[in-house]
Amino acid sequence: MSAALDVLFVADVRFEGGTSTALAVEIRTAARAGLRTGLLAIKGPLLGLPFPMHPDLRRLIDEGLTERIDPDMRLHARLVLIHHPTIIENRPTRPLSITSDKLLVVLHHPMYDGCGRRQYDLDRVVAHACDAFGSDVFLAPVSAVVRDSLPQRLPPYAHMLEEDWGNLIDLDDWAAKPARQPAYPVVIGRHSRPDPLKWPTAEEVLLAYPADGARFRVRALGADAFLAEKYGTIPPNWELVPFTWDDVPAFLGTLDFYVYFHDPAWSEAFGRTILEALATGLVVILPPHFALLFGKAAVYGEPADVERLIDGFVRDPERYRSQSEQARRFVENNHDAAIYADRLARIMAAPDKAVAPQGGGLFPALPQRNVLFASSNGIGVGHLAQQLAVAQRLPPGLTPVFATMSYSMKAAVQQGYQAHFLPHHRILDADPEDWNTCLAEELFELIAHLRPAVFAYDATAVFEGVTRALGAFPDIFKIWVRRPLWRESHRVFLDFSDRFDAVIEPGELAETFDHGPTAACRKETFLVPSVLHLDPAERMARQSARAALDLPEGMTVVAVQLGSGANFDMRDLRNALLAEVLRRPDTIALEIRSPITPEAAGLERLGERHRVVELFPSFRFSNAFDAAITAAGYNTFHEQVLGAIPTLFVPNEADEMDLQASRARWAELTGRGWLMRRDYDLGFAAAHVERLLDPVERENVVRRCRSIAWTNGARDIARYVEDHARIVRTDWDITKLGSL
Amino acid sequence: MGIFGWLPHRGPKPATPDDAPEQTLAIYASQPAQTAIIVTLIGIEAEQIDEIIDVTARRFGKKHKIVYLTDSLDFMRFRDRNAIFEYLPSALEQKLHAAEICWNAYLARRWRLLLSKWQPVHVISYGRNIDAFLAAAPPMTVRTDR
Repeated sequence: MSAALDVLFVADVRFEGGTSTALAVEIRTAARAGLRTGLLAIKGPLLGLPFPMHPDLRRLIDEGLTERIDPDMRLHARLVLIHHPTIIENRPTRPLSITSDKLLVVLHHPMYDGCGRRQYDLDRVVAHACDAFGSDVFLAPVSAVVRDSLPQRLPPYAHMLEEDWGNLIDLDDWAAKPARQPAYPVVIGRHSRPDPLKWPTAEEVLLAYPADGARFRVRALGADAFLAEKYGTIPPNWELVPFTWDDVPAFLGTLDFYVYFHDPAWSEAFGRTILEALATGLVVILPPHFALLFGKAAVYGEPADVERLIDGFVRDPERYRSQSEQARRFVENNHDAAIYADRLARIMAAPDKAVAPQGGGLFPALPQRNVLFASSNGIGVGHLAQQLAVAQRLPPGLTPVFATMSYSMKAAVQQGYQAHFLPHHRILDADPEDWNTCLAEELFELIAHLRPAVFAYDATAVFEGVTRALGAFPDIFKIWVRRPLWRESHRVFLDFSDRFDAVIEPGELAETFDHGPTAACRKETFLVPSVLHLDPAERMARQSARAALDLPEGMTVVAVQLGSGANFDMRDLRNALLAEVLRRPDTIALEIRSPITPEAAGLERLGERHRVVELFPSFRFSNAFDAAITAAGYNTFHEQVLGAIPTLFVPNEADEMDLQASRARWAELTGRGWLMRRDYDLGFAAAHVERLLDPVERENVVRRCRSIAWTNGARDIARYVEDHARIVRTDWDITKLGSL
Repeated sequence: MGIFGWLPHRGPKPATPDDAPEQTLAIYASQPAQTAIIVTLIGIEAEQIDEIIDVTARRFGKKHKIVYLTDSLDFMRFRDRNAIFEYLPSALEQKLHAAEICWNAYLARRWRLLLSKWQPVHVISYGRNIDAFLAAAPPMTVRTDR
């Protein structure tokens, strides 16, 4: 089935700053004009870090204001708009079945930076756009700065639009700031994405942003530690606000003057942030080269002129008010989003037949795609449970398939997923090198037949067999989800990070206790909140859970879950703790057997009130419990704390495990649980159980646990997978692939 | 094309540099004295698995590594007996997920790969034999789940 659109936007949806914001305004405005639009996501070469889709763009899809487009869809668009030339500098790595009446590339960036270095190859941009979409290319520079940077003689099949494709602003989102007469100390501010090139040189910075706290306060949004690296000491009158997509208008409303100077190596194509400041009616001070873009809407000077210019406005409130009004008016007249519909109408050919208006007519469903979740075994079900958490939150158009080394694979099958088992070399008694050779081929065959859009790997160890197989599929988007609190001995696996397109780290409550190998890499990862298989609210009600487990009301139920014992023998400790729990007449010890507990582990019953059950996921029943004694693996620990279950944590301290003792220590020191260590505390089992069963102590822990603000990171990972499952890659050059 | 060119029909392997040892697709490539047999357990009742493992282990376990090829999800039966096993999705699983993968093509390749991986001296079948199992694997169906 072929689809029809008025406008197809083609963009790297991960850009943090003005490029995405401008695109979002255009899409929203086109929707308001009754146009049916789609968004084809590109993974271009500029962003190496695992940025998620820009939230403004995600919101447009969620609200149904634009259609998510899959590269396998057949569609025709009256206009295809490619935003940013770099995203088509390499050829798309897959053919597209998209035709258009008109193809336009919006040039958001000058061809050369401030140092004269070429930023993109226009010949390649035009040739690849032309090949991918099958029509001539119209070039639309966002400003005169960009236009002036282009060659006089354009590449074949390229045409230049006469009008600039300037950034637009939805003025409803940028209310004029309250009228306020500036007085010392005045507030100077600026905002930009966190990039040192967006800031002036060390020689000039204190001229533009003075350190004189008696007269100036400097407030910068999108500034953090990188400024200290660039300048050394940060003056005490500077207030640095971390980058955020939200609340920029409110931030601008707190300023008196907007002062923007950047590094000479940077070439600003337009300066959307400046436009935003003008829209709120701020008096804006810029270097002279911006006069070409903003005319009388701003005032211009060198950094050394800033104090003098500000002083002039402070002394003349009427001039300040007039300049403020002029700024706002400039945006209204030249950059109001309301002009966008006319801009589109000028370049779009009249349709042969009308495309169904927004909301009218069904748009074809997205093609179904497989997502392959691969995990190592671990000694429990942790990796698999995390992947199930993500899989269950994927939209219907994506089909999760599992390949795991876990004996508990049945859990995935029971939830309706296709699953494959890849035995680990240890259980085969095989040499790791032989095993990796086989694993690579087995995984290769599975991937070749499944053709997953995304490969999501959850493990601490990265096996060569995995990376060799993945190397044969450069187009698949590869994600490595790795949990924190690594031991130093795991550091060797960090070297495999670059074999994945994105590394995702689920949040760790005990993050401040993590000084391991991954702690220094957080800037290169996509951080999400802690991941739980089930949200605490999805648990069964206490009464139902008690009924399901045949647990009478009036008894104090202590859940005991110390793991499979495969690599850390807890039998002595278990027996001591159970004996203490059962010593009281009103308790039931509910021992939860892991689905992969070997028969040989011999969980013998220690009395009538000691019950052994196999539950997965046991968290679903946890409202039935009054207290718990568990190991401190990632999943269990976060379930216990975020589920507000008073828990005595007994960390599995085997060498191959993560640093569970650190988690338990955090819990104890923050009043959210207790720590007991096998090799240190065996003689204190009675005291530990007494405290665990003290209602006052338990209530304190529950209260502390409930104070944690949290959302489930599984949802964030699922959305990340969704946003990358239909991405077109231009981040690598397929012409260099050779015979692979 | 696979990574190591393990299938005979893929033609001669490219010459490997002198300093790079040739990789062989066999799980015990570096333990040539190790021989294996494959025991297929397809469509077998879970309760029978224990007995089959015990019988085959007594009969062949001293001379060979025994690899059980099962479509059962009851992996702990194997683990509890320290038995090596490989898993193939059952006919029911294949039917449930027929729109996600071309089972007949995949399983045919998977079986050949397992033969290469284990290089068994014998294949012994309990329940449905492997040829019938592979022949019954469905082709890919059109997705209807949206």
